[in-house]
Amino acid sequence: MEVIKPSELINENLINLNLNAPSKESAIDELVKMLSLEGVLTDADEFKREIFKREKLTTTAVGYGVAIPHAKSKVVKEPKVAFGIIRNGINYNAPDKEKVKLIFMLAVGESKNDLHLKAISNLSKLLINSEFRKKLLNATKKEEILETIKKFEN
Amino acid sequence: MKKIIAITGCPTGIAHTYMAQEALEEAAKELNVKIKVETNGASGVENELNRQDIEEADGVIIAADVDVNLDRFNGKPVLEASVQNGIHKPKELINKIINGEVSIRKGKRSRTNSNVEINNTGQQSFGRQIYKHLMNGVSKMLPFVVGGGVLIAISFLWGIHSANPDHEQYNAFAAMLNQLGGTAFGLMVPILAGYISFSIANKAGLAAGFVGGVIARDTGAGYLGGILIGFFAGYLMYWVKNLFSGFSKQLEGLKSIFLMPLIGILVSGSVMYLLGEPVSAANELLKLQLESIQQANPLILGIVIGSMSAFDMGGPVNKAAYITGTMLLGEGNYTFMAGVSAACITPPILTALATTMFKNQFTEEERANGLVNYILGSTHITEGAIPFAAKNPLVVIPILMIGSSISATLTYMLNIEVPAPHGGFLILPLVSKPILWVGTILVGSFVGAVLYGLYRKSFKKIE
Repeated sequence: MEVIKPSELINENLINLNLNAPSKESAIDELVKMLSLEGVLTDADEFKREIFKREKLTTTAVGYGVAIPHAKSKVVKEPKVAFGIIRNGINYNAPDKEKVKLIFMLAVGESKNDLHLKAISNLSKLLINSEFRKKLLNATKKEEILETIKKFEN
Repeated sequence: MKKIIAITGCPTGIAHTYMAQEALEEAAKELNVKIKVETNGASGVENELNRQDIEEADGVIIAADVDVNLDRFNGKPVLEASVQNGIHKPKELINKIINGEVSIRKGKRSRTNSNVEINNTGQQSFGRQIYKHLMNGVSKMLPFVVGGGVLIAISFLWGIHSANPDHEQYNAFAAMLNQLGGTAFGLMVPILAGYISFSIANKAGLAAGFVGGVIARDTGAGYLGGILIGFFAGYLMYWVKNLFSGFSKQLEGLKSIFLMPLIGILVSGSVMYLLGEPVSAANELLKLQLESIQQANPLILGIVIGSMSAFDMGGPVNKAAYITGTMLLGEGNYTFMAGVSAACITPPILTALATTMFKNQFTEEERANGLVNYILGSTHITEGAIPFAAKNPLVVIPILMIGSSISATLTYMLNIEVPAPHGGFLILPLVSKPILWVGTILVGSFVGAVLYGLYRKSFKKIE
């Protein structure tokens, strides 16, 4: 069976090791911009609205300093993930009150492609691993992020 | 090793659901607990919990921000948490289950037999549950009715008194058949009561229901008593089980193999003992009533039975008529069953006749179906008519009901007796007026077949 790996959902253009954002809102703005510039979205504003709609339901911060804002929308051309590290951390209403430093923004299209969903859920699963999170935080180059994902997804 | 099951789910279903799954699985590994996690994500339900998983689980963790149907976990410790808690505090959740800090989910334990049913169990209505329990008892009872009934009926081939050693018709082989059939018949009420109770309270209910059923039989309270005591015993034991669920684990064995059967048999047995006389009087009254309708108003009875039998062809309405017939057989009323059987045989024969008489109105496939229905009808398999009815139920079912009503009414008018509960034309030698009985079925089927054929003709014209 064909398998899409989490590492195939992300590239260097979708990674920012020093995301300069003082708040949750500005962090989301930045990540949406990255996805938009990469040509993932047909309508960036609509996608952003969807992201905030999801945030309103419950915060997507999952603890451990990680947040995963995400949306499923028809404006997403192909499933992609944008990743940013906020060195100082931001308030994100996390369940453990910890500041969020790692943000993965997940963009998924309406078309139900289980392979992509699987890849996204596999990436999400990796975040539970403290070793994986530590490696991401310690990365100094974008390649290291990609290598870390590749290493852990196997 | 403890076993835990969990469900994770979140509104979008692409990330949290799976993170919670991963977190719970990791935590379980660390705590040396077995876990199975069902994910309700965007790609649907994965790793679905089956009945065995649920049965074996020591507890259930719901880490979901979406609606999850919890009824299937009734009777289990269920811990409801957010999906975030699932991700963030998996150990805490698992420990709560292990340490028994989670209260048991109230409500009826669902006893569905297949995963499909588990999937779509909404909260079942009370009436629906009662029906389910009753049918559970009935389905376990039917083999005894059919097997025993046919054996008794066969023994009558040597004469109605063939089992009586003092009578000139006596035949040792017939007497044995009669005794075998009688033994099976004798188990009908206990099995009915036992399995109604079993359906409600599972293993804890069987003994109480079964013993209650035996007493119902012996006090003459019959089926009515058996059904009553089956439900009583079931709900009693369900309640007792919940009452005892607070017992510590060390007392578990004492509770389930000693205390519960003792209480169950004592209480439900005594209740049936006391109820025996009044219920048996009610039973008698009902029987007399039915017999009087049978004689005074065969038309109404025939229409009711005919319509019921053909209404859903083997479904619950049909079964209600059929079960009444079998119960009355047990009471020695062979007339009632004759009408039910005629009404059950008619629908397939009717469709068979229609395809033969109006060849041009039916497709080749339907005609082949029709041929098979001669056989199905002759062996009392009403379901044979379903493919025809399914194509146009609003018209075909009423036609089948008319046909069956005619067959049943004529049977009652002619006072035909059928002593066996099943078998179709195979039991003809046992029928009191076999040729007339077949005649009534053919008349009903013929009238229905003509109506069906004419409907097909006019239907084609419109097209």
